[in-house]
Amino acid sequence: MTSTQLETGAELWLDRGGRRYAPGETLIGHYRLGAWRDADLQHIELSVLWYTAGQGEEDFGVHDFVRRREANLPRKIDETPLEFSSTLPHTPWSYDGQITKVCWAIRLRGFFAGGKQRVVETEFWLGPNGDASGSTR
Amino acid sequence: MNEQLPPSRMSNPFATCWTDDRRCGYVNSSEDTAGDTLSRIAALGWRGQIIGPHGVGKSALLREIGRRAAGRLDVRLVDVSFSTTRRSEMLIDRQQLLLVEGFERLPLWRQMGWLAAWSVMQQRVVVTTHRRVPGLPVAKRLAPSVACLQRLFHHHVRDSDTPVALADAEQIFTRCGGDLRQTWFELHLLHEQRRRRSAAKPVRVAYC
Repeated sequence: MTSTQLETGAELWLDRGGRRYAPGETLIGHYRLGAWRDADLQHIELSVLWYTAGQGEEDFGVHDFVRRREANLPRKIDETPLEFSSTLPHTPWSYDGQITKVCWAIRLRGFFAGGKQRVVETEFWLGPNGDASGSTR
Repeated sequence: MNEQLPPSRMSNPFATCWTDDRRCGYVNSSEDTAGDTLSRIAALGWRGQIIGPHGVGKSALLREIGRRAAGRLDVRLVDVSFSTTRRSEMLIDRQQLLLVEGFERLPLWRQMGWLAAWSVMQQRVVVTTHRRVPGLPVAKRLAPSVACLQRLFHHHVRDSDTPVALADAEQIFTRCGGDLRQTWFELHLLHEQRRRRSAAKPVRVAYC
Protein backbone atom coordinates (compact mmCIF):
# COMPACT_ATOMS: atom_id res chain seq x y z
CA MET A 1 0.00 0.00 0.00
CA THR A 2 1.38 3.38 -0.95
CA SER A 3 -0.06 6.56 0.43
CA THR A 4 0.43 10.21 -0.36
CA GLN A 5 -0.64 12.93 1.94
CA LEU A 6 0.19 16.31 0.46
CA GLU A 7 -1.69 18.08 3.18
CA THR A 8 -2.75 16.70 6.53
CA GLY A 9 -6.32 15.51 6.52
CA ALA A 10 -7.15 13.14 3.70
CA GLU A 11 -5.33 10.03 2.57
CA LEU A 12 -5.27 8.45 -0.87
CA TRP A 13 -3.57 5.22 -1.86
CA LEU A 14 -3.39 2.51 -4.49
CA ASP A 15 -3.67 -1.19 -3.92
CA ARG A 16 -0.38 -1.92 -5.62
CA GLY A 17 2.85 -1.16 -3.83
CA GLY A 18 4.89 -0.65 -7.00
CA ARG A 19 2.17 1.48 -8.55
CA ARG A 20 2.64 -0.14 -11.96
CA TYR A 21 -0.32 -0.86 -14.22
CA ALA A 22 -0.69 -2.18 -17.73
CA PRO A 23 -3.07 -0.66 -20.29
CA GLY A 24 -6.58 -2.01 -19.78
CA GLU A 25 -5.94 -3.11 -16.22
CA THR A 26 -8.28 -2.17 -13.41
CA LEU A 27 -6.81 0.27 -10.95
CA ILE A 28 -8.09 -0.08 -7.41
CA GLY A 29 -7.45 2.33 -4.59
CA HIS A 30 -8.84 3.69 -1.36
CA TYR A 31 -9.26 7.04 0.32
CA ARG A 32 -10.11 8.36 3.72
CA LEU A 33 -11.25 11.94 4.33
CA GLY A 34 -9.96 12.23 7.90
CA ALA A 35 -9.63 15.78 9.21
CA TRP A 36 -11.19 17.24 6.07
CA ARG A 37 -14.50 16.35 7.67
CA ASP A 38 -13.80 18.88 10.45
CA ALA A 39 -13.12 21.69 7.98
CA ASP A 40 -16.66 22.08 6.64
CA LEU A 41 -16.22 19.86 3.60
CA GLN A 42 -18.90 20.43 0.97
CA HIS A 43 -18.11 17.82 -1.64
CA ILE A 44 -15.23 15.89 -3.15
CA GLU A 45 -14.04 14.99 -6.63
CA LEU A 46 -12.06 11.88 -7.38
CA SER A 47 -10.37 11.67 -10.77
CA VAL A 48 -7.96 9.50 -12.73
CA LEU A 49 -5.99 11.71 -15.06
CA TRP A 50 -2.78 12.25 -16.96
CA TYR A 51 -0.81 15.45 -17.36
CA THR A 52 2.42 16.55 -18.96
CA ALA A 53 5.21 18.14 -16.95
CA GLY A 54 8.60 19.55 -17.80
CA GLN A 55 9.46 22.39 -20.15
CA GLY A 56 6.52 24.30 -21.58
CA GLU A 57 2.83 24.51 -20.89
CA GLU A 58 1.05 21.61 -19.21
CA ASP A 59 -1.50 19.52 -21.02
CA PHE A 60 -3.83 17.09 -19.32
CA GLY A 61 -6.68 14.66 -19.85
CA VAL A 62 -9.23 13.28 -17.41
CA HIS A 63 -9.93 9.58 -17.87
CA ASP A 64 -12.36 8.99 -15.03
CA PHE A 65 -14.19 11.34 -12.71
CA VAL A 66 -16.69 11.13 -9.88
CA ARG A 67 -18.15 13.81 -7.64
CA ARG A 68 -19.75 13.15 -4.27
CA ARG A 69 -21.80 15.68 -2.35
CA GLU A 70 -21.50 16.23 1.37
CA ALA A 71 -24.72 14.38 2.10
CA ASN A 72 -23.26 11.25 0.56
CA LEU A 73 -19.93 11.38 2.35
CA PRO A 74 -19.26 8.94 5.19
CA ARG A 75 -19.55 10.11 8.74
CA LYS A 76 -16.27 10.56 10.52
CA ILE A 77 -17.23 8.25 13.33
CA ASP A 78 -17.49 5.39 10.89
CA GLU A 79 -14.86 6.30 8.38
CA THR A 80 -13.60 3.08 6.95
CA PRO A 81 -11.59 3.62 3.76
CA LEU A 82 -13.69 4.02 0.68
CA GLU A 83 -12.76 2.04 -2.39
CA PHE A 84 -12.66 3.27 -5.95
CA SER A 85 -11.73 1.56 -9.18
CA SER A 86 -11.19 2.47 -12.79
CA THR A 87 -10.35 0.52 -15.92
CA LEU A 88 -7.31 2.21 -17.36
CA PRO A 89 -7.06 3.12 -21.05
CA HIS A 90 -4.43 1.94 -23.50
CA THR A 91 -2.79 5.34 -23.95
CA PRO A 92 -1.02 7.56 -23.26
CA TRP A 93 1.72 5.62 -21.51
CA SER A 94 3.68 7.10 -18.66
CA TYR A 95 6.93 8.61 -19.85
CA ASP A 96 9.83 9.90 -17.78
CA GLY A 97 11.69 12.01 -20.31
CA GLN A 98 14.33 14.68 -19.85
CA ILE A 99 12.41 17.42 -21.65
CA THR A 100 8.88 16.35 -20.92
CA LYS A 101 7.05 13.74 -18.86
CA VAL A 102 3.68 12.08 -19.18
CA CYS A 103 2.38 11.51 -15.67
CA TRP A 104 -0.61 9.46 -14.57
CA ALA A 105 -2.23 10.16 -11.22
CA ILE A 106 -5.29 9.77 -9.10
CA ARG A 107 -6.44 13.00 -7.53
CA LEU A 108 -8.74 13.66 -4.61
CA ARG A 109 -9.97 17.25 -4.43
CA GLY A 110 -11.95 18.59 -1.50
CA PHE A 111 -14.20 21.63 -1.73
CA PHE A 112 -14.84 23.53 1.49
CA ALA A 113 -17.10 26.34 2.60
CA GLY A 114 -15.76 29.73 1.58
CA GLY A 115 -14.43 28.44 -1.71
CA LYS A 116 -11.30 26.74 -0.37
CA GLN A 117 -9.93 23.64 -2.00
CA ARG A 118 -7.42 20.98 -0.98
CA VAL A 119 -5.81 18.37 -3.23
CA VAL A 120 -4.18 15.02 -2.55
CA GLU A 121 -2.53 13.26 -5.46
CA THR A 122 -0.79 9.94 -6.06
CA GLU A 123 1.11 9.12 -9.24
CA PHE A 124 1.39 5.71 -10.86
CA TRP A 125 2.97 4.04 -13.91
CA LEU A 126 0.89 3.11 -16.94
CA GLY A 127 2.61 1.13 -19.67
CA PRO A 128 3.25 -2.32 -21.12
CA ASN A 129 4.15 -4.68 -18.33
CA GLY A 130 3.36 -1.74 -16.09
CA ASP A 131 6.65 -0.03 -16.98
CA ALA A 132 7.24 2.56 -19.70
CA SER A 133 10.28 4.42 -18.45
CA GLY A 134 11.86 6.72 -20.97
CA SER A 135 14.98 7.26 -18.98
CA THR A 136 18.32 6.22 -20.32
CA ARG A 137 20.86 4.68 -18.04
CA MET B 1 15.17 -4.33 -9.84
CA ASN B 2 15.18 -0.95 -8.15
CA GLU B 3 11.89 0.73 -7.41
CA GLN B 4 11.59 3.71 -9.75
CA LEU B 5 9.11 6.38 -8.77
CA PRO B 6 6.44 7.25 -11.33
CA PRO B 7 7.02 10.48 -13.27
CA SER B 8 5.56 13.51 -11.55
CA ARG B 9 5.68 17.31 -11.66
CA MET B 10 7.23 17.05 -8.18
CA SER B 11 10.37 15.37 -9.52
CA ASN B 12 11.91 18.52 -10.99
CA PRO B 13 11.75 21.92 -9.21
CA PHE B 14 12.56 23.75 -12.47
CA ALA B 15 9.60 22.45 -14.46
CA THR B 16 7.57 25.22 -16.08
CA CYS B 17 4.64 24.53 -13.80
CA TRP B 18 6.78 25.82 -10.89
CA THR B 19 8.84 28.55 -12.60
CA ASP B 20 6.12 30.16 -14.68
CA ASP B 21 5.51 33.71 -13.47
CA ARG B 22 1.81 32.96 -13.10
CA ARG B 23 2.78 30.40 -10.47
CA CYS B 24 5.59 32.01 -8.53
CA GLY B 25 4.69 35.65 -9.05
CA TYR B 26 6.92 38.70 -9.14
CA VAL B 27 10.04 38.83 -7.00
CA ASN B 28 11.44 42.21 -6.10
CA SER B 29 15.08 42.45 -7.05
CA SER B 30 15.77 45.96 -5.89
CA GLU B 31 14.59 48.56 -3.42
CA ASP B 32 11.94 49.60 -5.95
CA THR B 33 9.08 47.19 -5.27
CA ALA B 34 5.96 46.24 -7.18
CA GLY B 35 4.04 48.48 -4.81
CA ASP B 36 6.30 51.41 -5.74
CA THR B 37 5.67 50.74 -9.43
CA LEU B 38 1.94 50.65 -8.82
CA SER B 39 2.08 53.98 -6.98
CA ARG B 40 4.05 55.49 -9.85
CA ILE B 41 1.51 54.26 -12.41
CA ALA B 42 -1.34 55.68 -10.35
CA ALA B 43 0.45 59.03 -10.14
CA LEU B 44 0.87 58.99 -13.93
CA GLY B 45 -2.89 58.70 -14.39
CA TRP B 46 -2.83 54.89 -14.77
CA ARG B 47 -0.81 55.05 -17.99
CA GLY B 48 2.65 53.59 -18.46
CA GLN B 49 5.03 51.05 -19.93
CA ILE B 50 7.25 48.39 -18.40
CA ILE B 51 10.41 47.93 -20.42
CA GLY B 52 12.85 45.02 -20.37
CA PRO B 53 14.40 42.15 -22.34
CA HIS B 54 13.15 38.57 -22.61
CA GLY B 55 12.57 36.61 -19.42
CA VAL B 56 13.36 39.44 -17.03
CA GLY B 57 10.00 39.46 -15.27
CA LYS B 58 7.86 41.99 -17.15
CA SER B 59 4.84 39.72 -17.34
CA ALA B 60 5.16 38.78 -13.68
CA LEU B 61 5.28 42.45 -12.69
CA LEU B 62 2.33 43.33 -14.93
CA ARG B 63 0.22 40.58 -13.37
CA GLU B 64 1.23 41.67 -9.89
CA ILE B 65 0.17 45.22 -10.72
CA GLY B 66 -3.12 43.90 -12.04
CA ARG B 67 -3.67 41.89 -8.88
CA ARG B 68 -2.98 44.88 -6.63
CA ALA B 69 -4.99 47.32 -8.75
CA ALA B 70 -8.02 45.01 -8.84
CA GLY B 71 -9.15 46.35 -5.50
CA ARG B 72 -9.28 49.90 -6.85
CA LEU B 73 -10.14 49.50 -10.54
CA ASP B 74 -11.75 47.09 -12.93
CA VAL B 75 -8.77 45.44 -14.64
CA ARG B 76 -8.62 43.78 -18.07
CA LEU B 77 -5.58 41.78 -19.20
CA VAL B 78 -4.76 41.15 -22.86
CA ASP B 79 -1.92 38.83 -23.82
CA VAL B 80 -0.94 39.69 -27.38
CA SER B 81 0.57 36.24 -28.00
CA PHE B 82 -2.81 34.57 -27.44
CA SER B 83 -5.07 37.34 -28.64
CA THR B 84 -6.01 38.65 -32.05
CA THR B 85 -6.14 42.12 -30.45
CA ARG B 86 -9.71 42.77 -31.36
CA ARG B 87 -10.95 46.31 -30.99
CA SER B 88 -13.27 45.18 -28.21
CA GLU B 89 -10.24 43.97 -26.24
CA MET B 90 -7.97 46.97 -26.81
CA LEU B 91 -10.53 49.78 -26.49
CA ILE B 92 -12.50 49.42 -23.29
CA ASP B 93 -14.23 51.66 -20.79
CA ARG B 94 -11.77 54.46 -19.96
CA GLN B 95 -12.54 53.95 -16.28
CA GLN B 96 -11.13 50.43 -16.53
CA LEU B 97 -7.43 49.62 -16.50
CA LEU B 98 -6.15 47.79 -19.59
CA LEU B 99 -3.00 45.69 -19.17
CA VAL B 100 -1.34 44.63 -22.42
CA GLU B 101 1.28 41.90 -22.27
CA GLY B 102 3.69 41.60 -25.16
CA PHE B 103 2.93 44.89 -26.89
CA GLU B 104 6.14 44.58 -28.92
CA ARG B 105 4.72 41.52 -30.72
CA LEU B 106 2.35 43.77 -32.66
CA PRO B 107 3.45 45.18 -36.02
CA LEU B 108 4.73 48.75 -35.70
CA TRP B 109 1.78 50.24 -37.56
CA ARG B 110 -0.64 48.53 -35.16
CA GLN B 111 1.30 49.77 -32.17
CA MET B 112 1.09 53.35 -33.47
CA GLY B 113 -2.62 52.95 -34.13
CA TRP B 114 -3.42 51.70 -30.65
CA LEU B 115 -1.23 54.32 -28.99
CA ALA B 116 -3.01 57.08 -30.91
CA ALA B 117 -6.44 55.65 -30.07
CA TRP B 118 -5.58 55.31 -26.38
CA SER B 119 -4.33 58.89 -26.33
CA VAL B 120 -7.51 60.25 -27.89
CA MET B 121 -9.72 58.20 -25.59
CA GLN B 122 -7.59 58.84 -22.52
CA GLN B 123 -7.55 55.08 -21.99
CA ARG B 124 -5.95 53.83 -18.76
CA VAL B 125 -3.35 51.39 -20.04
CA VAL B 126 -0.08 49.74 -19.03
CA VAL B 127 1.94 47.73 -21.55
CA THR B 128 5.02 45.54 -21.45
CA THR B 129 7.53 46.04 -24.20
CA HIS B 130 11.15 45.37 -25.14
CA ARG B 131 11.81 48.93 -26.31
CA ARG B 132 10.39 52.25 -25.31
CA VAL B 133 7.24 53.22 -27.20
CA PRO B 134 6.13 56.83 -27.69
CA GLY B 135 3.10 58.25 -25.96
CA LEU B 136 3.31 56.32 -22.69
CA PRO B 137 5.42 57.28 -19.67
CA VAL B 138 8.02 54.79 -18.42
CA ALA B 139 6.77 53.19 -15.22
CA LYS B 140 9.57 50.69 -14.78
CA ARG B 141 12.73 49.50 -16.49
CA LEU B 142 13.73 45.94 -15.68
CA ALA B 143 17.21 44.55 -16.09
CA PRO B 144 18.61 41.05 -15.46
CA SER B 145 19.45 40.61 -11.79
CA VAL B 146 21.52 37.93 -10.09
CA ALA B 147 19.85 38.85 -6.79
CA CYS B 148 16.45 38.03 -8.29
CA LEU B 149 17.79 34.72 -9.63
CA GLN B 150 19.16 33.81 -6.20
CA ARG B 151 15.86 34.50 -4.46
CA LEU B 152 13.87 32.53 -7.01
CA PHE B 153 16.37 29.65 -7.00
CA HIS B 154 16.14 29.23 -3.23
CA HIS B 155 12.36 29.48 -3.43
CA HIS B 156 12.14 26.67 -6.00
CA VAL B 157 14.58 24.23 -4.40
CA ARG B 158 13.65 24.68 -0.73
CA ASP B 159 11.35 21.62 -0.67
CA SER B 160 13.15 19.69 -3.34
CA ASP B 161 16.12 17.36 -3.58
CA THR B 162 18.14 18.50 -6.58
CA PRO B 163 21.72 17.88 -7.70
CA VAL B 164 21.78 21.41 -9.14
CA ALA B 165 23.57 24.11 -7.14
CA LEU B 166 23.17 27.88 -7.04
CA ALA B 167 26.57 28.20 -8.70
CA ASP B 168 25.22 26.23 -11.68
CA ALA B 169 22.24 28.57 -11.89
CA GLU B 170 24.40 31.69 -11.78
CA GLN B 171 26.68 30.35 -14.49
CA ILE B 172 23.76 29.52 -16.78
CA PHE B 173 22.06 32.83 -16.04
CA THR B 174 25.17 34.72 -17.14
CA ARG B 175 25.52 32.60 -20.28
CA CYS B 176 21.84 33.22 -21.14
CA GLY B 177 22.32 36.97 -20.86
CA GLY B 178 20.00 37.28 -17.90
CA ASP B 179 17.05 35.52 -19.54
CA LEU B 180 15.31 33.84 -16.60
CA ARG B 181 12.99 31.79 -18.76
CA GLN B 182 15.88 30.24 -20.69
CA THR B 183 17.79 29.75 -17.44
CA TRP B 184 14.96 27.66 -15.97
CA PHE B 185 14.82 25.57 -19.16
CA GLU B 186 18.52 24.77 -18.93
CA LEU B 187 18.38 24.07 -15.20
CA HIS B 188 15.48 21.72 -15.81
CA LEU B 189 17.58 19.73 -18.26
CA LEU B 190 20.64 19.79 -16.00
CA HIS B 191 18.58 18.44 -13.10
CA GLU B 192 17.32 15.57 -15.26
CA GLN B 193 20.75 14.71 -16.60
CA ARG B 194 22.41 14.64 -13.17
CA ARG B 195 19.54 12.75 -11.59
CA ARG B 196 19.90 10.02 -14.20
CA ARG B 197 23.66 9.97 -13.88
CA SER B 198 23.47 9.48 -10.11
CA ALA B 199 20.95 6.65 -10.54
CA ALA B 200 23.09 4.80 -13.08
CA LYS B 201 24.70 1.60 -11.96
CA PRO B 202 28.18 0.55 -13.06
CA VAL B 203 28.17 -2.05 -15.79
CA ARG B 204 30.17 -5.21 -15.34
CA VAL B 205 31.51 -6.84 -18.42
CA ALA B 206 32.59 -10.46 -18.32
CA TYR B 207 34.82 -11.96 -20.96
CA CYS B 208 34.58 -15.65 -21.59
